[in-house]
Parts: sequence; C-alpha cells; structure tokens
Amino acid sequence: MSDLRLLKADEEQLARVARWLASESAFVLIQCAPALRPLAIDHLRRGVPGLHEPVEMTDGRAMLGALLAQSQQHERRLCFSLPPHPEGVLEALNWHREKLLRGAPVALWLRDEDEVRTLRHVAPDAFSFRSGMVALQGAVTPSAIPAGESEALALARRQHKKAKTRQDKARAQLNLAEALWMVGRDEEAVLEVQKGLQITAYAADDALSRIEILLLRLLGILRKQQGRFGSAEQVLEQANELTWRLPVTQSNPLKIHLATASPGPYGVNRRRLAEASELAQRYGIAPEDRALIELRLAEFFIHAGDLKQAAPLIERPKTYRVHQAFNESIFMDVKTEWLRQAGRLREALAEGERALGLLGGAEDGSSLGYTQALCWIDAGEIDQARLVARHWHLWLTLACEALQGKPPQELVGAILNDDIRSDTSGAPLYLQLFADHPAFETDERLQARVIQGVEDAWLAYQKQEGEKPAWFHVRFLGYRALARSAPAWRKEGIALARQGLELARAEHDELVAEAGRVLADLLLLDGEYAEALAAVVEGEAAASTGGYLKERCRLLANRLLAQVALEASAAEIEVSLEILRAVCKMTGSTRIEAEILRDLARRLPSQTRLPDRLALAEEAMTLFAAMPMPIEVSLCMEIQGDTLVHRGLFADALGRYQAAVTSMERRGVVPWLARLRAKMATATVGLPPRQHAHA
Amino acid sequence: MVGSVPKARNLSEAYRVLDPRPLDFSSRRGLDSVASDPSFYTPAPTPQGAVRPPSPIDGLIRAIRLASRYEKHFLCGHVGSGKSTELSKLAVNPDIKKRFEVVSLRIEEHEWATLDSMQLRFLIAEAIFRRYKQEITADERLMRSFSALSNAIFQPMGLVTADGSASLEFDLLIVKLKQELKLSDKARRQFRELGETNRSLLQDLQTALTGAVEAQLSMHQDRPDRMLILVDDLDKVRNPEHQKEIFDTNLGAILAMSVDMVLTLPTGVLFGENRAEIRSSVTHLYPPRVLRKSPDCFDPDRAAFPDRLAYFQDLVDHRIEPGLIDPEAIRLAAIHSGGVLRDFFRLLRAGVDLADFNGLDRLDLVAMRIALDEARRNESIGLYTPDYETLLQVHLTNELPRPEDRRLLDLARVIECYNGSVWFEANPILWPLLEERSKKNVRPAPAQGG
Repeated sequence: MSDLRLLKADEEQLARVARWLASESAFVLIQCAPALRPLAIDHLRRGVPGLHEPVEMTDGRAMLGALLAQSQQHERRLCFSLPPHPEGVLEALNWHREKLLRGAPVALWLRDEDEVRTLRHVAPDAFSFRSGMVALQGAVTPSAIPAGESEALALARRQHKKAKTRQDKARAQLNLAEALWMVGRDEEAVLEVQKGLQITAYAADDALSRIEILLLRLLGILRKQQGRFGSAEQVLEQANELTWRLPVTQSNPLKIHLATASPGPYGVNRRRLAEASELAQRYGIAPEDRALIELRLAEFFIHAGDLKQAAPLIERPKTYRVHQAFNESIFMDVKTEWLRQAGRLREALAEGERALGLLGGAEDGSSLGYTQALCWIDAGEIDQARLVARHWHLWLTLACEALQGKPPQELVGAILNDDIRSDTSGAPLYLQLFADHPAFETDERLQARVIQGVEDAWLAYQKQEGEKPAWFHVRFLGYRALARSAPAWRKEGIALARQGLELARAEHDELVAEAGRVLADLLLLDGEYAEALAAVVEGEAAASTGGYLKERCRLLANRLLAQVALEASAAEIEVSLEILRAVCKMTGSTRIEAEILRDLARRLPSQTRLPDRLALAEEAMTLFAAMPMPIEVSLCMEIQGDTLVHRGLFADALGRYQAAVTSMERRGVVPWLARLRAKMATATVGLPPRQHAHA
Repeated sequence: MVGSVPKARNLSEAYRVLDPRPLDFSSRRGLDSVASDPSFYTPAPTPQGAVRPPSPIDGLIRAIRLASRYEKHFLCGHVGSGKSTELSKLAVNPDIKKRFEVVSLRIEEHEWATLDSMQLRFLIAEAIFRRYKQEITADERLMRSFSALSNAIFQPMGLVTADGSASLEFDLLIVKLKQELKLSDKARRQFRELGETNRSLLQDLQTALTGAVEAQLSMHQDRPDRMLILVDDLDKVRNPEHQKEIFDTNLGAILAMSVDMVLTLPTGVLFGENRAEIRSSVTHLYPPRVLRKSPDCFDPDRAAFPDRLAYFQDLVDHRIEPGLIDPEAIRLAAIHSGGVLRDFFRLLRAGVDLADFNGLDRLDLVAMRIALDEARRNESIGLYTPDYETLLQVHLTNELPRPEDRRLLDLARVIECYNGSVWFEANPILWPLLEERSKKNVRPAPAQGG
C-alpha cells in the first residue's frame, strides 16, 4: 500500500498559511488534492487550533451567508471549498470580496489547478484580493513489491519448465535471465545466463547463435552494472565476433544492441555507438532499435552536459516491441535524469513518479528509484529520498543520513563494509558524499579515511579478472587525485592527476578534458596558477573537440580563477567570463550554469570584484531557486554572506546567513548549520552597537 | 508619520500597511484596515510640460461639472488600477460637492448574490430613497409610481402619507422588495420579466424620486440642486452574458435614468460603433507606465523606465520607515507589477511576508526576487498552451489578437497601457515563461551521431 505524506516544502507552505490564518484578516488560497487535505489540516491545527474541515458551499446564497457571518466575527476562521459547478458560488464571492477581509481569516481550499483557473476566470476581483496562495504537492511512498515474483518472471519460469528442444531451452534461459535482471536480481541473472551459455555452446544454427549473442550481451550489461568493465568489454567483444556467422539482416540489429551495451566513460562507448549509428543509417533499422541508439546517445549527451543535443532524442516518441513497460520506464528514467540535469526539477519528479508507477514502484536494485531519490535530495526532501532509496541504494541512504546530521565518522564506518569496498563504482559516490561535507575541509582523520576508501576500491578493481579498459584507469586516477585535495595530501594528488592526464593523452583522448580539469583543480588549490592554465588550455581544447560541455565549463571557470590569481587585466578577465557564460548557455541547462557560477563564486577570493563574487552567487542562487534546489540556494546565500562580511556589510551578511539557516532548519538539513551559526556570530560582532542589540 | 497613521517600523507592521485594499475617503464607518487610510493617497505621476492634459480623474471631474443634466459617465480600468479609491475620493472632491449631492452606491454593501439591470436600477432608486426618505414630500407622482410598482409585484396596497414625509408604506415596500430579490430566484425572474413587459415602471419611480429630491434640494440655498450617483462594483460583472444584459441590451434604460451618474465599467465591455456617443463618456484609468514596448526582450528589468519608478518609492515612503525595504526591492515590485497598483502592493507585501517568515528584519533584493519567482509560479497555475500562445502574441505585437481576448484584462494576464494611444502588454511577471515558450517554438537542429 502506498502512503501519502506531506513534503517538507508542503510543511513550509503550511507554516506560512498558519501565519496568515493567525493574523487579523486574510484571504488564503490553498491548492491541495482532496486525498492530501486531512494531513494538511491536521498539520495546520498544530499552529491554528480549532481549524474546522472545509465546508463545501452549495450555491451563491450559501456563500453570501457565510461571508456575511464571517465579516461580523473576529475569532473563528472560515474554511470552505467549491461545489462541482461553482459558478454561482464564485459570482457571490466576487461581488462580496470586501467581506473576505472584514472578519477573521478565510481559507479557500481548491482541489487542483483547474479550480484555481475557474476561480480566476469567474471571480477575478476576489482572486486579486488574496493575501497569499500555496500549492501543496504531497508525495507517495513507492509501494513495495509484493512478496512473490513479478508476472514476467513467473511467465519466464513457466516457459523454462515447459521447454523441450535445445532452442526452446536456450530461449527460456534467456527470458528467465532477462526477467531476473529486470527486477534487479543480478547475481541470479548471471547464473541463468551462464546456464544458457552452456546450452548454446557450439551453436550450429542461426537461431541458437542469436540466442547466444543475446545471452552474452546480457552478461556484458550485468558485468557493467557490477563495475567490472574489463570483463564486460571482453564478453561483448566475444558476442560481436559471433555476429559474423549470421546473415546481415540478423547480425546488424544484434551489432547495434551490442554497441549500445558497450561500457565507456560517461556511460557509453562513443566509438561503438558511432559504428552502430552508421550501420543504422546505411541499412535502416526497426524503430525499437533506433530507440535504443537514441537512448544511449541521449545518456552520453546528458553526461557530457550537452542537454540541447539530448533534447530531440528524448522528445521523439519511442516504440518497443517487447517488455514495453520495462523499456518505457528505462526511457522515462533517462528523461528524468535529463530534466534533472537541465534544472527542471519539478518536471523531473513528475516524470520519475510516472516511471515508478509504470513498474508498480521502485524495485529493490532498480535504477529508477536511484534517479528519483537524487531528485528528492536536490529538492531538499531528504525524508522522501530515503523512502525511495530504501536499503539497496546504500550510497543514497548514507547521503541522506549525512544531510540529516549523521556524523561523517559514523558514515565512514558503514562504508568500510567489505561489500562496499569492492564496489568500484563506489569511488565517485564516496567522494561526492564527503567532498562537499563541511567536515572534510578540516578533519584530517576523515580525509585519511576517504582516501583509504578510494584506494581500497582501486585495489579491488585491480583484482578483477580480465584486461581493464584504459578509460577506467584514467578516471580512477582522477578519483584518487581528488580524494587528496586537502593540503596534507595535495602533492600526492597532483602527482596522480598528472599521471591521469598522461595516460589520457596516450590511451584515451576522450578523457583528456576531464583529466586536465582534475589537474587544474588541484594546481589551483596549490597556488600553481601558471601550470594550471596550461592544463586548462589542453583540457579545454579536448573538451571543445569532443563536445564535453560540462567539462569545458569547469575548465573555463578554472581559467578565470587562474587569471584572477595572476592578476590578469580586466579586459582579459571580462573576455574569459563572457566565453564561460556563452558555453554555459550552450549546455541548455540552467543547473549546469548555476553550479558553475556557484563554484566559481565559492572559489574566488573574498575580495574579488571582477568577476563580482557577490553577483555570481546571487545569479546562481536565483537559478537554483527556480528549480527549486533549496539546499543550493542556502549555500549560495552563505557565499553572499561571506562576501558581504568581507565588504563590511555585516547587517546584510547576517540577513543572508539567517535566511540560509532558517531554510536548512526547516528542511532538517544539518551539516552546514554549525558553520553558518558561527559565521552569524562573527557577523554580529561586526554590527554597530544598536544593531548588535537587535541581532 | 503621514496623516493619522504612523509609518511601519518593522516587517509585521509593513505587512499590514501594504494591504492592497482601496483607500476609503468616506469615513462613514471605521476603516476596514489601516491600509485603507486615505492619508496614504499619493497622486499618480502626471506628464511634464507647459501644456499638460488633465489626469483621467481630473478629466472626469471636468466632464461631470460641464455636462448637461442627467449625464452618465463611466469609469473603466484594469483590476487593481485604483477605481474604487478614485471614486471614493471623487465623492469628497470639493468641486463636486459644491455642485452635487453625492450618493454612493456600492453593490457589495447589498446582500445580493447576483445582479441584473432591473436589480441595478432598483438599487439606484433605493439608494436615492434611503438617503432622502426623511426629507422628501410624497407628491402625487411619487405615490402613483410606488403604487404601480407595488401593484405589479405584490397586491395593491393603500398608501397613506402624513405631513408631507414619505410614508412608512414606501419604506416597507422597498424593504420587502429588496428582501424578495435577495432571497428568491422566482422573485428575481419575475422582476426581470416585469422590466421587459413594463419598461417604464422603475423609470417612473426613479424619475419621481429624483423630482422629489431635487424639489427638496432647491428649497435650500446652501445645498446643490442636483444629485450625483456614484455606482461602484459594476466592474465586477464578469459573466459575459450579464455584461451584455446590463451594458448592451438594457443600457438604454440606465442611460434614460433622470439622474447624473458615474458607474464603474468592466474591462470586458467595449461600447461598439452604435454607442459612439457613450464612448466619449468613458474615463480609462491606466496604470502608471513603467515599461517600454519590448517585443525583443523578455526581461522586465531591461524594459523598465527608470525615471518612472519614483512614484512607487513615494507610495512606500508614505507608509513605511526608511531602510525597512530595499529600494531595489521596491523597484523590482513596481516593474513586475506593470504599474498596476494592487499588484505592486501585493508583490511587495509577498516579499515582506517572505522576509519576515525567514527571520529577516528587512526586505532585501534577494528575498524580493524569491518572492517574485513564487508569484510567477502561482501566476502560471491554470495557464495552458493556447493561453501562452496568446500572451506571447500580445507581448510581441502589443495588440490583442481577438476581441474576446479582452477577458485577459480581467484576469490580470494582460495590462492595458497608454502613451498617447492604447496598447497592450502581457503581465511582466510572466515574461520569463513566455521566453521559454518562444524558445520551444524554435526547434533545435537534429542531433549528430556519437
């Protein structure tokens, strides 16, 4: 069963409603789905005791009577709602709008946007008299998958039992393995694939060869998901070899499927994908195969930060011949991520809900819950994120716990669990979890443990069988380098980053941009500005050629930082800033733009006027606020506060810090509170005595 | 401190004085809110120059003074443009009071859920009667009119007069009729039908009343000899059918009433070519112009006239202590309101509320921007693709595409502006959304392969 609950954003809105309802007079509009209303009223009653259930007005006379009564008294609030055909009620409301503000506050509960629209159209004068309007969202906890097996899995097992011929058995084995994979039971899926491969070994006919290829493809995907990229590449290459046995009409679609499954940096193997696209153009392909290519291309563009290129691939309708619901949900998951990266968070959440709904809820192990949980974290809804992530998504659960105040030392303890250490995909998540945590800046023991965790993952990766792809080695060098960004370890980090750049140049030029940026990041921290500029130049050229817009933005931001540090001329800095802004716009993502501006503002010295640190932070904050990403908004306010303190504007700084603290407290977000409160205390000291007393 | 109300010293007080209600010059009863204090009145900016046209309200006052007897004037304006405030102020204008006895009629004060033209005319007659019932003499004409009305609606009643004052029976008839019309759909229907079959019934009553009142007024040298009825709230007739019924089909009956009147008019009503003589009697209240025509721009900040914004700073300075609200926040609220006063106060008030809610002690630019984002989100609720298309077209062309799009003025989605000629602009708070829409209308180039 799904539970409906109020989000933190809803509670915040209701806190404002409570203030309005506690005032002398107010006319408040509350858009709230009927199912959520009891929760909302219960919550409101904590601040406004005695609030009654909304009374549905039957007609204009009833509305007038209620308004007349309400205008005479100043104690009891009036809550009402509209009938199914509300025109008469709204007409009376419009005529007598003045009465809304004569007595105690009045709240009109509207079911949905359509009711809001009707109110506006029929009673625009009453609408214009509103004191405030809120829209409550609510959220549903994803339903747990019932005990037992999914339909597809049950069907696959039945087919498996009935299979008689070798081909039937092989086919049934493939179906069973796919069904297990689709519900996230990867280990079992691997076993079934291996059984299937035993059946198809030394396949003598096209049909069996085809099944063998598909089994190998699935094994490659499973290996990729486990972070065993070398093994994945090996298996997929083996499958590719087998396609040559088949006639072109059969082998081409299979080659496309194999190409789209190939691992690579940023989720796809660009070279293989380009080959697949060429095949598709030359020979033509079925719509569902085209959908697969477009999906993978979209994923690449999203990772690369080129959301404009991803847009038409996402927006084109897709058709699927088999596993309709599953494939559609995967597509919707990619679209959710696209919307999330574009900064369209509300739409992302809605799309994610639809994707989860398609599969009846987040399966344990399903990636759908992962993207949706990230969206909730972005939106500052940590409780909801935890409900969606559940226990399988350990990293996300830890991220949520960190945001809700669990000390990093305790989190590290959870991460040192053996299973996690062997998960090589954990390294970037590990870094993400701690790099932004305020404790990481100053706690050397924490820094040491983070480094250890990343090194353990590296060792575990090296122990994996098979040849390792160079690209992953390059990326891992980057992770290891960034884990050492703190002063005590930075020299080591820079050395690792240099290694990473050299390896990228030699083995995998796609990653020169990222490797160059990592090196530049560390060199800038270490004050090596000239060398940082050189890394930026090289990285930016590669990013530009390869279309890695996000990396290009980061590199251009690094260039600005280096120029500021080297006291470049104002003209040079302005040109660099203009180029940076232009490239940010090219991404088609306000989120990327906001993140770049925020990071730039954070990393600029407090005294910097060109570019204006304060203006950058304000600009980033405005972009984040529109998404909305309240935690980011608060962090931008902190940067503004820091800058204002430096400029001696203590009262303004205090305002920024206070707003950041209030927002984080409301969301239950903890890590930055102590730091912000300390800054508030410092800013208060700087106030003139009279203001000091009021602060 | 301005007038009787001290200036707000904190955000909580600021929230109260920024309540966007009409100012009340009548002092007939206590103010509904401190924000209605007439001392807050700030005249709208006037054009500079050696030869200046009168402001719309000055023009209306002149027109009323110079008009021949029993003229009808209409006051029209955007929702929240200040019609009720100006009408309230007109009622106490010394020039007007010298020439007219002002009778104010506010539909809202009468406990009716609906209104049609017969009811409107009845309310006008009732307002006159109520004001002067102790003074007028029930002459034969007046008695005959009341009898005719009573006979048509209720059973015949004998009317008794005593010593020249209006009889208790008149009073009872009016009260009874008013109550019937308030409570009974059937009564309202019958009354409407009565108006169609016997058009002169109410006309005769109203004429007789006016005659009796003017006769009374003429006996006093220190009083004007004419009435001026100010009818407010007619701009709230929003239903197109009701608008047609009152301002088109039965407009003649209102025009024929033998009394001078100023009536507010809904923005959806546009007197056509067959009403050319009335069009000149319509006074439009346009919002102070704060924006240029900017079809190439979707940033209200860039489209703003910086020197027009001092007025809004004045409005705030009248109410609020300096330093409590950042002048930049005031500027933003003014620009995004498009100059519409109620929207200006509402946006500023939203900013104040948000700042207070977040524990700040003043409204700064940051909080104001967040409040504007929230207002924009609320404004977009219920907007569908055809609405966006229409609004985009309005912004790009500064024209209304179709006559029926005048409804957008009522909805405050479009602002009617004036700079010598009338033009239209989409509500500036929606411009960023329109920009997104305009970008979607340009399809991106097909993606290149990996």
